[in-house]
Amino acid sequence: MQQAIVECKNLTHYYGKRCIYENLNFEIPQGRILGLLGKNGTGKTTTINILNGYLKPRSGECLMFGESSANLSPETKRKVGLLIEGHVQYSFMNISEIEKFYSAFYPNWRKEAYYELMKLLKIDPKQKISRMSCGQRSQVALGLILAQDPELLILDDFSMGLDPGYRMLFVDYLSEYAKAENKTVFVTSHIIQDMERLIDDCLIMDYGRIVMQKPVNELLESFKRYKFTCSNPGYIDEISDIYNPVTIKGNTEVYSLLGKTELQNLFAKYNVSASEILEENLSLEEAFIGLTGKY
Amino acid sequence: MKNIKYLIIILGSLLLAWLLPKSYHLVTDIASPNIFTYYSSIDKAFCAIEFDEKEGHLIRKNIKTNRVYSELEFDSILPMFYSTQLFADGRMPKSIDGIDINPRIVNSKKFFFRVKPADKNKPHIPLYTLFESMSGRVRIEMPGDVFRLRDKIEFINPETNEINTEKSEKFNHHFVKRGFQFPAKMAAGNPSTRKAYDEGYFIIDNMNQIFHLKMVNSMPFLKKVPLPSEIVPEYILTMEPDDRSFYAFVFDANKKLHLITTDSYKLQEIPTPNYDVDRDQMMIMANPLYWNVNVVSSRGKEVMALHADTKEIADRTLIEGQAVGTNYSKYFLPFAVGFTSGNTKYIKPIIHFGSYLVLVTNFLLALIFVFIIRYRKQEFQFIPVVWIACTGIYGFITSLIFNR
Amino acid sequence: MTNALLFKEWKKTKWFAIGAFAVGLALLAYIFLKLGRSFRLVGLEHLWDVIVNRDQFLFRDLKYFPLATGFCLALAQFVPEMIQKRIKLSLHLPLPNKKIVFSMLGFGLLALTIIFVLHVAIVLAFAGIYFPKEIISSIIYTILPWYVAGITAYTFMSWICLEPTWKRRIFNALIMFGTLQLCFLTDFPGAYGLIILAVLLIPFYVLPFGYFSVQRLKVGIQD
Repeated sequence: MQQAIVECKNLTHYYGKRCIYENLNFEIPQGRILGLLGKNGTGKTTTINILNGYLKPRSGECLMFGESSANLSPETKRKVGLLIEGHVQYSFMNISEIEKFYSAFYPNWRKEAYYELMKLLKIDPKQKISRMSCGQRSQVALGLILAQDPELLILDDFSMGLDPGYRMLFVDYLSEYAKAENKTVFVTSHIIQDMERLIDDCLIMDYGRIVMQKPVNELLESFKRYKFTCSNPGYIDEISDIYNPVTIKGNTEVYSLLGKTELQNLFAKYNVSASEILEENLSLEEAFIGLTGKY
Repeated sequence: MKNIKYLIIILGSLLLAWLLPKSYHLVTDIASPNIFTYYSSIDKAFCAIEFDEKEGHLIRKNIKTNRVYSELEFDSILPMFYSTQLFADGRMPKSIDGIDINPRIVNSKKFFFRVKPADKNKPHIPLYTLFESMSGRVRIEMPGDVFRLRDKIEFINPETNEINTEKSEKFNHHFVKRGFQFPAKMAAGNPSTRKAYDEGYFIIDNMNQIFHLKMVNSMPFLKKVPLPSEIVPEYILTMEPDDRSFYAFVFDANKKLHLITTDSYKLQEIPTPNYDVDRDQMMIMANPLYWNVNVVSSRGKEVMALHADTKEIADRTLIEGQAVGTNYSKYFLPFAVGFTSGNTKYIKPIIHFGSYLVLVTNFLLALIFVFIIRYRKQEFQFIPVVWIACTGIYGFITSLIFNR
Repeated sequence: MTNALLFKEWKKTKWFAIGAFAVGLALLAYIFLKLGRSFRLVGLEHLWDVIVNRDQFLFRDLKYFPLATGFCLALAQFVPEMIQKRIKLSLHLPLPNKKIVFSMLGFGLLALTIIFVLHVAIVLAFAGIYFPKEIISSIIYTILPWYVAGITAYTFMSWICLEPTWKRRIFNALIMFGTLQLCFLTDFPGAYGLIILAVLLIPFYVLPFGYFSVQRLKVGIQD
């Protein structure tokens, strides 16, 4: 068992009376890339904030490198690379100033890694970050994190505001780097396509709870969609291992982790009359929708 | 973290202790009804102009007999005060109490002298203008220098900002010769060119001696005022009255007032009501017959009429009015902090305490606060509760806001 | 590392600091020209007389310059931190939070102090030519509370900027206005002479407030 870099224990948080989640537990082992997936308002940013120490949960705690995230020591902060929502950086600096600024804080600063990425941007080193496009800014933010060479990367909604080219560039660079250097990554995004290419494990949240926490391969191998015709779809609701059954004009769609045979056995047990059962493999995005529903 | 919160609460409470009573004053302050009191040389009694609450306008009356006068009648009752009016109307008597009354006598003997605590207690730049007292010109002219008095006297020329060494040495020599002990404690003069004549300065030296300094024909004139041993001068105000009968008023350490007369600097005591030069206001309204000495203090307004020649008391009375100073809701506001005061031009913190009964209010507020933190499901905090018990409404409001 | 932090603060406030200094110089030039005119028209003897005997003050135009400078410096420094929650980046720097916050505030205080000290030095150098030490010391006692107000305004405005909720910002602003009033209670020259030391302590009392709001931000208090 590899050591867990991040451990969240029994996190519970409310905004006023609204419950975000209760008793959330997860950990990120060293060298894994964990994606936090969830619709808007399910608590992605809340979790990121708790992780970064910008929010105190109602109860429970979050440990990074064994330290409480509410009060990280400078040494631990140095080991964590942070990309905040919207690729925000000190936009009043230009790209060479900001490089010089951050290099002072990190003894293992890798200047080349940053400038390699900046070369691709074809930007004048004197150009202020505030005058750059969102895509260019995302590269600056990424370049800084790569140069920092942290052991843990926390990326909040990196795909926000990026066009597909930059998104792909970002994902490619990041996954190559993380795999090569055996880095641990915690990432959220609302564009799940990108995540499929990047993450090892996924944590799928719905309102107030975690619906799934599995390695992506495992999820995609076992989580299937079944289409069939059904005369009594009302009975399906009684079966607990089936997600989001939908029936339109006698054609029924269900999602499940069960194999086809197991499903047929269950249908028989619950008197569901299903015929022409069709099993389909899913992309991560489809699986996400299967787990959380379209609404 | 907690400590910073308490710093904020303390600051907020003090600001409220300053601003709440101040707003209370803004809303509730009323003017004192007594406006003016003067001793009538005709009625031989104090007469006053007062605001009459029932009538809703000013009334003029004799406060001994309560007889009310019309405006025209009032002029004749106070002929010395309204002398200009009476002379203009030709209504002035030729003599009163056997003393001849004519415009020359009245004008030379009539003066107003006012002392406010703020005149004494104010930041003062210790530079003085010494005029030529015998210039031979009718108008007093600026001398072209000012002097400072520290461990010696130095004259400085404003146009060059340089010391006039020659003149300084000449004067300094005189100071040493006359036994002046530097540094000076205070120097009183009237550095204005708008006066009939100049009598220079009266200076208290480090040994509590009084010296009279003038410049006569460009030469120093310095004379020691012979002081009875029991008089320790604290504060001097000079005056150059038209009749040249005296030089200055001296307030001594026993809170007595004296005149330095022009009769060989002899001191004459002026009876006054109890008077504290740092708190009370004094006004002397003099005329050829009587000196009216008014003192406004926390007791109200005390007025005394003195015979002008002997300074013996002719009559006195006390008009109780609104007390000066502590006036705010004593049961609600536990204390009041102020930084400015009518008694001084300096900014300095002053605290007025209310009644002990305010502790009941404070205790209730502390109790309410405990219930509120219970309701908010906060843990019990000892320090804010004690703070509210001490500072009452001020601590209560700030703790409610800043103690979440 | 602290140097890098100060560099960041300098980047944010550079133009403002230079601008404030330039405006300060322009203001002084205006005051000096105005005074030069009075010197010629009424003469120094008369001016000395009205200063000493009629409590006139010649540098009243300086009154609100430090206050405005303090406000603007805090805004220039902390608004960019609060927009898009950039402060999260700053607090993530590998230094203790206390050190990060107080380095930022320390930078502002230092910048203001430099601007103000130069400004006051020019005023006193000018006044020293035309006025004796008694008047100079009265000038110092009169203008010092205004400059302290400028530094206090900076510390308060930083506190207000760093505060995460709007409701609390309003209360903070009320405390700020109340406290700043203490430096402008009177126009009488030299009136602060007796309590000038206490006035000098006000900004130091207020300085830690900013850290308090950062702590509130750290636990995620928001509107």
